[in-house]
Amino acid sequence: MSQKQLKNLFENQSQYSDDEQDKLKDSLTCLYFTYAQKKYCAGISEVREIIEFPLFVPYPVDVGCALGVFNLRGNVVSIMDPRRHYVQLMKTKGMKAQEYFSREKLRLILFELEGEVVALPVYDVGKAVVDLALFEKESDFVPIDTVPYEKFNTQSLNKGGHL
Amino acid sequence: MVDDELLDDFYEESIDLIEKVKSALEMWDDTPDKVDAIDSIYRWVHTIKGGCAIFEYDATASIAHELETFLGKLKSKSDNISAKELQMLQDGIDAIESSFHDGGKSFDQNSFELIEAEQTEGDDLSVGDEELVTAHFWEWFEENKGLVEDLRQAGYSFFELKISTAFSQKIMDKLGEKKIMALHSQESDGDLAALFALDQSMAQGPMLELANILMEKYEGRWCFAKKMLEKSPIEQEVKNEVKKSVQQGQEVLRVPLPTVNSILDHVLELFLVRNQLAHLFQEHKSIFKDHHSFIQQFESLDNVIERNIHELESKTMSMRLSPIKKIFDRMDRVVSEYCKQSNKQIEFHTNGQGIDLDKKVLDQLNEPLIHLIRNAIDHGIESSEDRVSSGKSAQGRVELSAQVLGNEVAIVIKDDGKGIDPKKIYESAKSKGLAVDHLQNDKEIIELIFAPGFSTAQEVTDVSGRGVGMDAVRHSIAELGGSIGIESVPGQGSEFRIKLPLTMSVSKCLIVEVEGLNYAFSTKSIVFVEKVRPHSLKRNGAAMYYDFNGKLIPCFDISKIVPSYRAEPGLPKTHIYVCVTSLGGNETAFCVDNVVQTLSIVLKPLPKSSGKHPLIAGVSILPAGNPIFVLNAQECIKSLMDDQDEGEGHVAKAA
Repeated sequence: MSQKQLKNLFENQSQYSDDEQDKLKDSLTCLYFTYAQKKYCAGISEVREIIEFPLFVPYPVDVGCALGVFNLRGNVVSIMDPRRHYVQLMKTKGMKAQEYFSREKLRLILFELEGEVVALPVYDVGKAVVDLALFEKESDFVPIDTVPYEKFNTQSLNKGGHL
Repeated sequence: MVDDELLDDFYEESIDLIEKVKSALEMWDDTPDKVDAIDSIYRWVHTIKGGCAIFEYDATASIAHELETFLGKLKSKSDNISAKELQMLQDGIDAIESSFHDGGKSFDQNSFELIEAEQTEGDDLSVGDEELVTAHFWEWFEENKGLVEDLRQAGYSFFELKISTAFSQKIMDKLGEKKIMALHSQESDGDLAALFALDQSMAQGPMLELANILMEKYEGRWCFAKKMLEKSPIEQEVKNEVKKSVQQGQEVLRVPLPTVNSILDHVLELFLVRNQLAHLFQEHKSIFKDHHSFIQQFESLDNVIERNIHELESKTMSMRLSPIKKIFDRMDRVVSEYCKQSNKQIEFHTNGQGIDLDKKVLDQLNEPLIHLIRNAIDHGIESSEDRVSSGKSAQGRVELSAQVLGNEVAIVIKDDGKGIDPKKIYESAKSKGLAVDHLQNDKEIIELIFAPGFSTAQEVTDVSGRGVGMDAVRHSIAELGGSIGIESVPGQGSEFRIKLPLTMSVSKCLIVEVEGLNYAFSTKSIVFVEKVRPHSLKRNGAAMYYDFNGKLIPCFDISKIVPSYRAEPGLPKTHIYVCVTSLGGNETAFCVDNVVQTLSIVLKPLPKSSGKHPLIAGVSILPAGNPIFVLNAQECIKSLMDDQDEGEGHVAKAA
C-alpha cells in the first residue's frame, strides 16, 4: 500500500466500523520482501517507492556494497547490496546477471537515507498490516502470518553498513 | 508622512553604508588601490548624506556634508593620506553613526573636528560631470586606425580627459613638451573632451602620476580598442585603469550561496534535458527527412540553446568562484607572525595565486592549510643554528603552490626542514598500540601521521602537536572529495600534496569502450588519441610502451582495472585506441578498446551511499538516458603503475 493510500485509509476512517477503526490505529502497514534469500520487513513510512528492476551500470571497481547506478528520472541512484549477494553474482555472471535480475522478477525498493534515495534489490514483495506493538518490540523479528521476517535496518544501506 | 517601508529601506541601507565606510577605513593600510577606495568612501558618504536629507536626519546630513567636502580634498592625495587625516575620517564616520542612531537630529559637537587637507596643485580646477566621452573617440579610433596602430607600435598608450574649456589649453601647454600628444578634441555641452597619447617611456614615475591625477580630476580614463590592447611594458597599468573604469559605478548584489547553487543545479538539469532532446531528434531524424527547412531551423535553435546554456553555466560557476590568493595571503601572515614569535628565519613562497576555486572549497580548505603550514614551520623547519650546523642555509624555505591538473587542483606545501623520520613514526605508533606489522615501506609508515590521535611531538606548543590535526586535515579534505599524500626525506624536508576536484560542471569528455562497457575520461589532460594494432605497442616484460613522436612513453591497459562485460570475452582485439595524457610535461598513455565519441557532460559526484573511490571522478547521464562513470585518468594510470611495480617486486621494506 502506498503512503498515499494509507493516508487515504486513515482519512476515511468513517467508512469503517468502530472496531475496525480502533484496529487501524494500532496497526502498522509494513512491506515484506526477500533480499539475498532472506526475509525482511520494513515500515511503510520508510519506503519511498517500489519499481521494476531497471537497466543499470555496474561500478567499474569494488566500492564495497554498491552494485551499480541507474537513472531515476534524471537522478543517479545507487543500488546497494549490503550482503554483497548480487555483487558476487555480477562478478561470476557479468552482464548476464541483468538477465537473471529480470527473470527472477527482481524489484527495487527505494529508501530515503539522509536526504538521498538508495535502492535495494528484492523479490517476493508484499504488504501486511501488523500489530504496531509487535513491530516496536525490541526483537529483530516480526511474525507475519506466522513467518518471522527480520526488521530491515536501513542504515545498512550506507557504505560500510552490515546485515 | 514618510512611508514606513521606505524608511526601513533607508535605515538598512544607511547602516550598511556606514559599515562599508568603517570597514574600508580599517583596511586602509592593506588597500592596494587607495584611489579607488577613497572614491568608494566618497560615494557612500554622499549617498548617506542624500538619504539623511530626504528623511530629515538633518544633523547627520550636516556631518556627512562636512565629511564629503573633506573627502573631496583628500581625493587628490589618496596615496599620501596622513595618519591624522585618516583618524579624522574614522571619527567622522563614527560621528555620523552616532548621530544616525540618535535619530539624526543632533550630534556631539566635540565628537570630531575636521582639519584642512593639504592643498595640492590644481585644486582650484573644477571637475566635469560624469558623462562618459569614450563613444566620441571610438569613432575617431575607427577613422584613424592607421595612426593609432603606428602610435601603438611606437609604444604609446591613449587616455582621454573631459576637461572644462577654460583649462584645455593650459593642459596642452603643460603636457605638450613632455612627449604627450593631443590627438583629438571634441566639444560636448560646452566642455572639451581631449584624447592624448602618452609615450610609454613617459608613462611612469612623475609623468604617469600626473596623468593619473589629471584623469582623476577630469574624469579621465585610459582608452582601448580590442586589437590595440596588446603586449606593452605598461600593459598592466593600462589593464588596472581599464578595470578601474569598468568597475566605477558597478553595483554589487549579495546573493546567498544556496540560491547560487540552486541556479546552477537548474542550469545543469537544463543542459541534460537539452542533450536528451538533441539525442531524441537525432534518433528520429529520418521522420523529418523531407523537411529540410525544419531540420535546419531546429539545429540552428539547438546551437543557440547549447551556447546559451554554456554561457549561463559559466557565469553561474563564476559566481561561486573565489581567488585562492585570499588563502595564500592568510598563510603568508601565519608564517610572518610565527617568525616574529620564534627565533626561526623562514622564507615563504607562493605560486599559482591566480587560480579561482569554488567558495565552499576555499572555506573548508582554510583550516587544513593553516594546520599544514604550522606543522611545516613548527616541526619541519629547524632553528637557524641547527640548520647551519647541518650544512643548510640559516633561513628555511616553505613553499605553497597551486596548479590545475585536469579536473583537479593540486596544492603543494613543501619545506626544506628536517623531514619526517620513519623510525620515529614507527616507534611512536607501536608505543601507542597502533597496528604496524602490516606496513611494508617507509611511505606507508609515514602515512601513520594521519591516524587519529597520532603525534610524535615531545611537547604541545601553541602552534601544533596535539595529535588531532592531521586526522582532521585528512577528513576535511576527504569531505571535499579530495585526497592528501605525503613524501618526506629525513634531513631534507617534506612535501604534502593535496588534490581537490574542481567543482561540478559541464566538461568535455571522451566516451570510450573498455571490456564491453562505456566510460568517460575528461579531455582536459588528453592530448592525443590514435587507433593502433595491439602488437604495435612495445613490450618489456609486463610493461608496455607507445611510440609518441619518436619517444617511448609508458602505456597502461585500462581493461586491467575494470571488469569484463564483453559479449565474447575470449575474442582477440584487432584494434585498440591509445590516449596520451600530459601532466606537467610528462606524457603517459593508456589504451582502451574503442573511442565512441566526445561529448560535453555534466559531471555529478558519486552517490554518498556508495562512498568515494580514487579511480572514479564522478558519474553522468548520457543523452540516451543511461548513466556513465567518469574515470580519473591519472589515478587509473597510477593504480596500474603501482600494480606493475608490485608485480615486479619493487617493494621497500621498513627499516
